[in-house]
Amino acid sequence: MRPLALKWRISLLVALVLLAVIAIISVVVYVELREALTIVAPDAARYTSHEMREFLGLLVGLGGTMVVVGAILSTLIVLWGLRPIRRTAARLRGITERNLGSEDFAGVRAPAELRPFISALSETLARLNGVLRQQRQFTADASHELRTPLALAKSTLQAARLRGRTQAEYERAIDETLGDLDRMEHLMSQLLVLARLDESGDGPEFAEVPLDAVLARVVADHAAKAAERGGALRLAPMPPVRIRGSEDLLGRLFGNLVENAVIHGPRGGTVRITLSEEADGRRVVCVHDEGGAIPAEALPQLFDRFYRLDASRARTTGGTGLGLAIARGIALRHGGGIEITSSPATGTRVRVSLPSG
Amino acid sequence: MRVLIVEDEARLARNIAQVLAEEVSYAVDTSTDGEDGLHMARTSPYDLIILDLMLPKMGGLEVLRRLRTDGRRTPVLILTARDSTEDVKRGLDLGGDDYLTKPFDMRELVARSKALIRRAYDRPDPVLAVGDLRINTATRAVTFKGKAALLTATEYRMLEYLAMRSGEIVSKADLVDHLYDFGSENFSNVIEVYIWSLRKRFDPGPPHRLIHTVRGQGYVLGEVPP
Repeated sequence: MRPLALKWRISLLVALVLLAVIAIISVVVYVELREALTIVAPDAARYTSHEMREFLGLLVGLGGTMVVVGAILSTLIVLWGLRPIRRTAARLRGITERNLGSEDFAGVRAPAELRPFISALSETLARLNGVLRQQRQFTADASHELRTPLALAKSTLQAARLRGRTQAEYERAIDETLGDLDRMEHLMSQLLVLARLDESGDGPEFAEVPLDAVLARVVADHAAKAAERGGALRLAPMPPVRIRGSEDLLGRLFGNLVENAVIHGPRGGTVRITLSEEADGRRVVCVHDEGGAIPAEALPQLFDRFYRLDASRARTTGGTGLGLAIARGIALRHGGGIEITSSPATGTRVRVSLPSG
Repeated sequence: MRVLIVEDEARLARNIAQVLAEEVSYAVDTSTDGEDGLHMARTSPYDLIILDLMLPKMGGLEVLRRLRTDGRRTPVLILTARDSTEDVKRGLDLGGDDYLTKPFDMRELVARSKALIRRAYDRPDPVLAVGDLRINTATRAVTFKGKAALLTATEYRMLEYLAMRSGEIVSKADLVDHLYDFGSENFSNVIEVYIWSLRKRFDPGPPHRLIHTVRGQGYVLGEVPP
């Protein structure tokens, strides 16, 4: 059965209460009067009983009217009291993704009891709007990042095709286009990783992972790149450590961090990778380079998708702006966390903590 | 015609510059950031600016806003990867003249560039007619008295510019400004050489009836203004 509307519930309640009160009053009055009349004029009982019935009829009529009026009044009061909720609902109905952020229910004059409800509503809307805006920004950024190499490839081939070119010119056009395709391919695979990370839940790929071996492999993979820039990678000695997770994802996580340190750290600098254990048993991996030029106000945004410190510089180094977003996604997926600190005195340090279980 | 490309992908700028130079003989300068692009747009008289929106140092929309606040009338073609209706609307509302999204077709970019320049010179007809000369700016075919004339790229460039402003005095400085980019080695006597070669083809004089010299001021293609 559908629950009764609030106005009917309250008016029914009021009517029942009034009915009960009137019934009690009638009974009491009737009994009292009859006793009184019997004592004062026992002979006139016939007449009095006639008058008594009239009196009782009046009492019941009056009472009935009171019950009906009371019920109607209480219905009206409830309707009036619920008006702010109806207004709020009307406003909510008018919300689309476009005006989501601007609705603050300013025109709704809510009584004190309803105010927490309405402010919770508008907070929820603001949160939703934030998520939506982030999503929109991400889509816009992703499309920009995909269109740019596409535009480069297309313009290169079209320019080459517009008239006869030399062999060398054709070769250059092909090589440049292949480079653009590499850039797109890299971006696509990064986007796919991010999309998979967005799916929640402990995936079936989770297993016991030798963390020390993962780190050793990451260091081996990036040693050549570091040497190319005149720097070095130092892996601090570490005991065998096993944690629960995905070997592939953890390899990506630390690969991204080490790659960032090598590319964005100073030329000829040393990148240190350490593994330690917290008092509560969590494992902490630090990737530490000798940079430190990241402005403090940029630090919180570093993990945002497509955030780049310097758009033009990152593009020439081939970064997609997704590396740290992926790193954070992987850390969170493992129930861990990631943070970054940077100062000229101590360098830039990324700290990843992972649960041991 | 001289075009400025403000685009942070240097290779894309290079490709566009190459195609504009080869296909329509435009002189092209490129800039890879907003501040530098704005400076160039303010200091040289471009016939068209091709402007990216996501630029380092200063965004394309800000560059556009400042150019229009300055009162610059140069047509601006916005070339960007942003394709939402709001972006297009914002770009055009700020004073952009056209909007093309990446990736784009080079032939379309060239056609739009030509159309924007035509409109800026108030020449809706792509065929410019001066006396017996017909210059089809779409195909770059030039006919004189009904016969096709083959011009070099530089000759065509100069003739087209003079024809766009036919009936007006065009100073030598204007010709240098609109026909040469920063990279070219321009000497003002080169202008005289090309005027001479155009005259040889279409206006053997004296007296010159098509390309007039206004002493101390410049040249006029067509009727000299009173």
